[in-house]
Amino acid sequence: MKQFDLDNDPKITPGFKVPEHYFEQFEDKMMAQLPQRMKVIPLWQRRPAWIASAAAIFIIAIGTWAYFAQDTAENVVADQEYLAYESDVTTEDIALLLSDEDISAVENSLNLYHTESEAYINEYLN
Amino acid sequence: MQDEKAFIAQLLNPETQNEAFRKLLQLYQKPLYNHIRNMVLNHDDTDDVLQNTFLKTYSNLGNFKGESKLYSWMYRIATNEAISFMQQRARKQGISNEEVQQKAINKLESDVYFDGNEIQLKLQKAIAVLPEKQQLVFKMKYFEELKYEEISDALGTSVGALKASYFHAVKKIQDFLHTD
Repeated sequence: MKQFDLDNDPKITPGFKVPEHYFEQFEDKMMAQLPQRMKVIPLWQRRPAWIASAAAIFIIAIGTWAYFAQDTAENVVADQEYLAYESDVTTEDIALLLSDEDISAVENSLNLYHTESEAYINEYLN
Repeated sequence: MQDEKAFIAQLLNPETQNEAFRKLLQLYQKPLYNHIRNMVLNHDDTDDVLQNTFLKTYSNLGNFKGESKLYSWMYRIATNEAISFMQQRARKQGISNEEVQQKAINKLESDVYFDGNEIQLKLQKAIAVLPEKQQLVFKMKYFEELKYEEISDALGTSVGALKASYFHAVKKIQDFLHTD
């Protein structure tokens, strides 16, 4: 059996063939692809990375703000509904937590002692 | 190349890029084809990888720092493209990279673009059973006759490790050729 000595024997080539005129055709094929690939982008169409980044940050900021704003409004309504319908907390319990000034403010805003209403009640009773 | 910086500037300039790109093709398509063909074995696959290599070269020319020669940089791109090509094929077929190589070797005998004799076919079979890195080092050193420093530049492996890889590869191939 023949003993191989790759480093000293005559070189064994890989044995590959290339189709005839392949390289000329390859050159033309690549050149034909260039106009689309190498098209110069006008300056006004170029969007640098920082513009895209700034736009993304702006959208995220607006979205976050809108989400929390909506969430806060929904929470207030939910708390009010809970206190009104679902809890065992009485009006007296709430009043205990409020100062005199707070109670006066609530009374004024609700117009509980409206003079016209008082006059009407008195008239009706008499 | 006489003035590589000037040539790269021509490739980046819309006015001169077509002519410069044709020159780039004429200069490097043959050596890069041979390198890729040694790795993927089949002509059609080599054609695909070679196209990707030139397109990637062009689209990344703006990032080329000039720290190495343009050809060394393209050679690295070609090597990476050929490796990714084989990995993708292995993933698609659900087999290992070594099995992809074995399948390619099995098809060589009936390949119209392979006209190797018995010894050449035996050598290809012997290479195909080596670990991937040893295959690559052997092909670059033995077929392409690159210096260890050039292989080191392309693969990012130390010269010492490459010498050891090549030594082991030659030993295994010779054993394979003697026994097979």
